[in-house]
Amino acid sequence: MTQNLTAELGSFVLLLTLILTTYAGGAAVASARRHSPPLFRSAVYASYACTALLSLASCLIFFALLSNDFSVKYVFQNSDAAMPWFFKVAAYWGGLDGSMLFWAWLLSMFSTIAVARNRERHRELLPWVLAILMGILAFFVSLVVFYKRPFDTFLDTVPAVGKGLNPLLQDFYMATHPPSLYVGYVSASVPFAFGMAALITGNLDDSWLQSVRRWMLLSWYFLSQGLILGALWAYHVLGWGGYWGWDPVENAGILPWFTATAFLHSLMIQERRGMMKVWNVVLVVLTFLLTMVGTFMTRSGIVQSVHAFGNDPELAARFLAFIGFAAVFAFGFVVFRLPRLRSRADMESPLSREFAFLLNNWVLIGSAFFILVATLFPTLSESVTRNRITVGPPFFNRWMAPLGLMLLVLTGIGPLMAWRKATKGLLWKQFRVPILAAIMTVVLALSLLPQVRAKTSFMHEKIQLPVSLVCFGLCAWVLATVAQEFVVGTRARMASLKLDALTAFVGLVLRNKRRYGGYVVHVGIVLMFFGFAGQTFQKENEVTLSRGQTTKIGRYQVTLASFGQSSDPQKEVVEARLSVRSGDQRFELRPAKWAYRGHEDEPPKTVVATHNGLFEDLYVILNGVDGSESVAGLKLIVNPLVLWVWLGFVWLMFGTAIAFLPDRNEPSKADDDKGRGDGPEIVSNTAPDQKPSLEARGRDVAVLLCVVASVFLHGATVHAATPGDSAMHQATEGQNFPTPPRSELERDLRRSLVCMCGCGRQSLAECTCGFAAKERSLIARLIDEGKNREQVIRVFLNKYPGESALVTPPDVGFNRLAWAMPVALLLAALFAMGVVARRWSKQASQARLAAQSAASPNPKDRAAYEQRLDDDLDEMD
Amino acid sequence: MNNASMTISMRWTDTRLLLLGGALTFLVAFAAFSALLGGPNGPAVFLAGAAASLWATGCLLWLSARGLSAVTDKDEQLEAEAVVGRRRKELSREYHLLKRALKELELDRQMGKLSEADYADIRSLYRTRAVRILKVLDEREAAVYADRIEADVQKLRAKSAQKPSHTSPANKAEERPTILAKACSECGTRNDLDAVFCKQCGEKIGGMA
Repeated sequence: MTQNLTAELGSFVLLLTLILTTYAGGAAVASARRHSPPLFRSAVYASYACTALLSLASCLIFFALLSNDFSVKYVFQNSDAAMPWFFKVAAYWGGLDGSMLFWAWLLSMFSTIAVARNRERHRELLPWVLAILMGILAFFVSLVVFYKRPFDTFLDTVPAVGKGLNPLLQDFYMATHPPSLYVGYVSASVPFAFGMAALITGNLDDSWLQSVRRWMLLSWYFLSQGLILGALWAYHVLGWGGYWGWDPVENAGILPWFTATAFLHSLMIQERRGMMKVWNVVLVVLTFLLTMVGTFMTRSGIVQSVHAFGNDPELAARFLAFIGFAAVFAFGFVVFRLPRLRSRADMESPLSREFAFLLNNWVLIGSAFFILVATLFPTLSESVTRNRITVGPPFFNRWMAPLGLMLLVLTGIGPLMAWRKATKGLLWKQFRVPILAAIMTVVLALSLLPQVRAKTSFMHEKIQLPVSLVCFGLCAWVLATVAQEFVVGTRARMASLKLDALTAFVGLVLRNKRRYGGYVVHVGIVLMFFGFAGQTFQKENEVTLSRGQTTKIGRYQVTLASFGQSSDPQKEVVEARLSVRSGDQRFELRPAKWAYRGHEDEPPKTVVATHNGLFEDLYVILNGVDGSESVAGLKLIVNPLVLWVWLGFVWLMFGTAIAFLPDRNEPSKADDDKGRGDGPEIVSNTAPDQKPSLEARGRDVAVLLCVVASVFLHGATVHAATPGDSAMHQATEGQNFPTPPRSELERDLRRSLVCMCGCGRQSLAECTCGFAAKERSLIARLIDEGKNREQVIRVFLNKYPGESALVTPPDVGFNRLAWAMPVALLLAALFAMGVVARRWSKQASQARLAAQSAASPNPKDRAAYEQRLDDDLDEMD
Repeated sequence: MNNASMTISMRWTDTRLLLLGGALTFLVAFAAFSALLGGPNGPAVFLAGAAASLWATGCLLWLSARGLSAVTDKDEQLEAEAVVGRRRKELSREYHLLKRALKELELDRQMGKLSEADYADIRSLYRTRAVRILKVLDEREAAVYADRIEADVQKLRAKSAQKPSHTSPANKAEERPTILAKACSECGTRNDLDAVFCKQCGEKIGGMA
């Protein structure tokens, strides 16, 4: 009876939440129109109550999961009694219904925090902020109340045993990657709410930006963390040898990341020059819309992906309606307020940090747009030409490489420019060392590692350039820039304030946390690019080994020592024990296959074995073991520089922590309070720019502790990322024993054709499922029959709809659009930038003349004011 | 003017009620459910959490309803404040951003990104703007001061017309209207606006008013 009570209580609570959410939103709007604080107070408390109610509902779901209450359908579908408790907890967000409830819960918590923290400033904006947040919350709660109900129960028989969480998800990374990503997605709603409130009230000065910066930084950080955790999961668990497959859901996750990064940069321009107001508001709106699009794509079935929750056209329609409405509402207001958003100032010179940031924004937004279109291109092409094609990783890599390199260049240029205008004569002195570092790195690399000359496709198949080499050079370029900023800054501080090096250094960072925190983040990004470039030099080999046999790959000699077999209540395990030798090093690897009980209809999972080193990873996949257990099929991969991607993220974490702490030079609450309309404080007992209060300091410490704890957690994770920690991916059945390719032709064909098993868009060379094995044997047979490349491809094209079997679509007709589009975009962007830059420079000189001739206070007054200004500036030190 | 009614922060008593009550509920519920479920375990924790959330919900709903009961007419004060305060806040913020820009400019020059000529150029631009803002802020402040002085003087006149003054020194000090005052951060004594040292404890009074 308790069980039904839980479910009924849960459903009731959710319904109550929906009512309260609607009330809170409505009351907030009413209080804004009527300027009524009591009404607003009521709305705020109601919204806090929503948070409490959603916490209540979540506790009930956790209770149901942990007490194995299988009468609740959601618990049955996503949990079973044999699962460890932390996976039962993770089952909360493992299924679709729970994930929507989780989203709503997070949103309610963030709304509460946002409103509570800003309750004394932004009193004009806050009612609208609350209204918008409640509106979004109402959408998600209504989904959970009417449509995807997590508290639904079985009406008749209660199953005794649960289905269990999809074994794919029973993994540390999959337990942590969704919550992190959700936090990133949901926290993007707060800046959106503030932006909309600013637009609705017409109060478009910069104060809304200050509150929004930290939320956007938080969102950006958790998006980064979620994406990295996803990459780690793909690498260590999915087992195809890589960490990013340009899967549609991965792409959906990275789109808001690009817009958030762009916002964090262009924000600085608005703060210093009052420019790009429209742009910033648009970015905030876009980030929010893209987070919605991401959620929509995972759940709608509109794209083929290993990530997808499933195919649900009705849910898709609802999401689409919501996104459409939000887009019209938001952009409508942007257009409505356009006159008020015009900027005061103008860009003076292309040799300025503003211009570098503008270029940076263009590249980031361009990347996001490109990824969006490329992801939707198959759907687009199918609806236009009735011909479904596959846009795979090679296409993405071809274009993201140049975009990435452009970003690297800008990352080096930006910090070395001054705001407003850099002195041309001094530029060479600034760029001397970084350019030298880049050239030296390229020369060193070429002389010491000749393989670094390897070429990859650049924008088009026919253009082959040593992209990785250039990347290494640019990494050195940026690192030199950052080092220079630290060193020169410290020296300047030492000279002007007569300090020793260490004090000056610490002071430099603490006085300019945002700038130097940002530089540390840049270092992290550079390290990640360094890791990305390593993929060019990946080596792989497929072999069949009998017991005692040895094979060689790279520096490693791999011997199949023995086989192992074991079982536990959840699964049966078959593993190959390999002893590996490399120079003086010796270690053992145990790739395995796990067959889960209760999931016999699915093929067993591949558990990869990796040996992670600073310069390369050895990565082994067990493709299969034949019946008599004397021969094993293995795929061996050497992945250079992968560890640097994870290390880069740790730097990113540190940098974000530094940038997150408040700057002393930020306008504090005290300053904003001085603007209270009920008159200035007659009795003033606070000095401006006072030391941060106890409360503020406590907050800083708390944030710092959370971040440090997070750092340790991740350090432990990366360290403990043991092979065979969990399983994933389909495997081969006994009969379809994989064989390595016998010829170049066979290898080429395997790489050019997509596995149509629905796993994603992996090629037949990579996909380790049973379906792929059958396809590979088909290729082998066709080659034996004497067919050439064209004929084999023709067979596959006839087998599957359109041209979807090809990894890279042929360059004809509509498909031309696929590469023509990015090129056209690039040209258009360059042209637009040129026009804008010219127009700004022209206006700038006029504006300056006007400003200088404007009336200024008379000489006597002016001296007094100048003195006050100087006093204030001294206080800031 | 009672500012408490204008704020939306929870009163201290309300917060205490909410948090302490919630914690108490959690502990009591946890003990109860642990006993019921045969030992402290996961489900007991979450049921206790549910109970605490229920308490919080109750409190907040009550607070929400109570807030609603105070709704009367439009709050004109708030409306006026929004418009007047907005401009002032905008200027105040811009001033702050200009100060920061000047600091960064200085750093850029020290790091060799700007020549002396360019530095002087841009610096004068920022300083002119900053000085102009200070002037405008002062003018606005003075205007508001004038109104406040007038209103307070009227109030005091009305008060002294009613009560005859006592001779005790404390009241005498209170009587003399120290309307224009700056409070010392150490001892709290009201000093004159242009005071540099506190007349009571002798400590330096910080910065501008």
